[in-house]
Amino acid sequence: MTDVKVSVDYELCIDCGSCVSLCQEDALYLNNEWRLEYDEEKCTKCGLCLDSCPRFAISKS
Amino acid sequence: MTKTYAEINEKIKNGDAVVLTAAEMVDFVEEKGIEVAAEEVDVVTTGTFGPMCSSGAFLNFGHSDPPIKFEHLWLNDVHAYHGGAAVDCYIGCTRMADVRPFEYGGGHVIEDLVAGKPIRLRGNSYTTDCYPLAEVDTTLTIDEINQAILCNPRNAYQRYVCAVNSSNKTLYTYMGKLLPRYGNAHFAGAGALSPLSNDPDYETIGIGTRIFLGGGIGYIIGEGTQHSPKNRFGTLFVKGDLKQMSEEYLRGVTYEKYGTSMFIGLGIPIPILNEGLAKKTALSDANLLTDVVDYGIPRRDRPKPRQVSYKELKNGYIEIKGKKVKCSPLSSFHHAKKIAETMKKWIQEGKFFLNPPAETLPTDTVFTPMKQKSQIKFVKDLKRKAEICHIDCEIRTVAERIIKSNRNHIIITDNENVLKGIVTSFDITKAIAGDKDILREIITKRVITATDNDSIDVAARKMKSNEISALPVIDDNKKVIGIITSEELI
Repeated sequence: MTDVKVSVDYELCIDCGSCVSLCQEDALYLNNEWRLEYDEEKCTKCGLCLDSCPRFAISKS
Repeated sequence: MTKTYAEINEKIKNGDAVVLTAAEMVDFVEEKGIEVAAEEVDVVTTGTFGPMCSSGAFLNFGHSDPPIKFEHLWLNDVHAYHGGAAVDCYIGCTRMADVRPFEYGGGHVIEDLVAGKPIRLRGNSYTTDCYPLAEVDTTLTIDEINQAILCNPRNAYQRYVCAVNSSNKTLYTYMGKLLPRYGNAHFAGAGALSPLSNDPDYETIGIGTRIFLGGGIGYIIGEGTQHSPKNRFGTLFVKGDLKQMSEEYLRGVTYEKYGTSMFIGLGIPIPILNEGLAKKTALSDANLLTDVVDYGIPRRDRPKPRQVSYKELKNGYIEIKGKKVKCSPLSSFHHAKKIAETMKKWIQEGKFFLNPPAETLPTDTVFTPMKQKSQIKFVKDLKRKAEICHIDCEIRTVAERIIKSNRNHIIITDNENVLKGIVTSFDITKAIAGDKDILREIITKRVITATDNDSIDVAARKMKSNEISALPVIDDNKKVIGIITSEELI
């Protein structure tokens, strides 16, 4: 997993937040407006969030 | 101070109505008090946007020529229910596509339909004298069908639970992915914005109430299934015209290894007829409690380690059994807020009026469990004595035990009878063929186990999903107390 890049497709994302609890590093988080944001620098590419998105908005590239 | 629906509607008509979202009402009451709020505020709007598995739609396609009476039909390869008249159907959101299950389902069909995309309709019939056509294969859009009615028997749960997992393995549930040993928590419901939480005694919410549904106008048509008002788990049965709705508020979703569902946007306006309603709509997230439920126990009555407020949940962490657990919602607060704000705008612009219910919802019904004829059986009822060998014994001893006991699985333990591994007759054969003679090197150390209180169905599912045929039964201290194999389950 270390050499892959995680990306979020905000067109597909519905800001449900179900990926947030899986991200122990807070790389995926809900902002003040309850919208999903992804902080690539914090991401350890553990892969737990992949396949968990109900909209398939999170993918590795 | 009391108001009537007619007075409020007159204000809406004149553009004078004071409308607040439920979130704004909390701050308003905190600042000005209940009495002033009851006098000044006319309507409080609410909203929720979450997965609602009971959702579906009735569709009517019109008659083909020659006519067909569907026996089976599929929309984009999702089987729709046909038990009614010739060309009607009900498409349910959790039904998965035959060709892409766990990717696409009935909820996605409804989203695509509302987005104006063409949908493939395939159907067949046993044929009758009045309906002679045997097959149909066509594509159609929402504008090319007669009625498209969103009809959901159970939506808008008053509140929902917060799910955690105490077990040692990741669970894939309708509450999302739950990490082992309380690794995370998921909750649903919009808290202070939740429609039924703002009128928990159903004073203004009832049959005929006009609501926001999927971006259009909908109506409450009764109590929802599993409506359980006594413990504040009320639900609503709603309907609305899909042709007026927007895909922004109707989203097909898939929960990993669980299946498909659908997010629905729903909002209800609460007329502030009296001080009681002002008080109820001013409840904040801190006042709204829900249960933390342990999905690690696969039973109907799961353990509830604690109660928690929506305020704590929204903070992102809760404490369970001394552990700080990261939690996140399953339903979108961003969209819930947007729904409440959209309704507020509709009312302020004089586009949406309030109406009293034709009938109020029951407040005394209870949700009863299924009556089952057969008694549930547990591992403790069917387990048998395990054949056990010590971790330091020779492979030959294990081979002899297999022959003597006529059993395929030998459990390996230490001096304290603590589980160390499992070995099968095939493992022994392989060891001999490979010239290996150390037992520790050939046993399976990561063993899938059962406990006395696992139901037989849970044990069967463990065997099936791991492609194994036996589970050592262990106690809380990992000591071996028996074995259950596929033979006992047959």
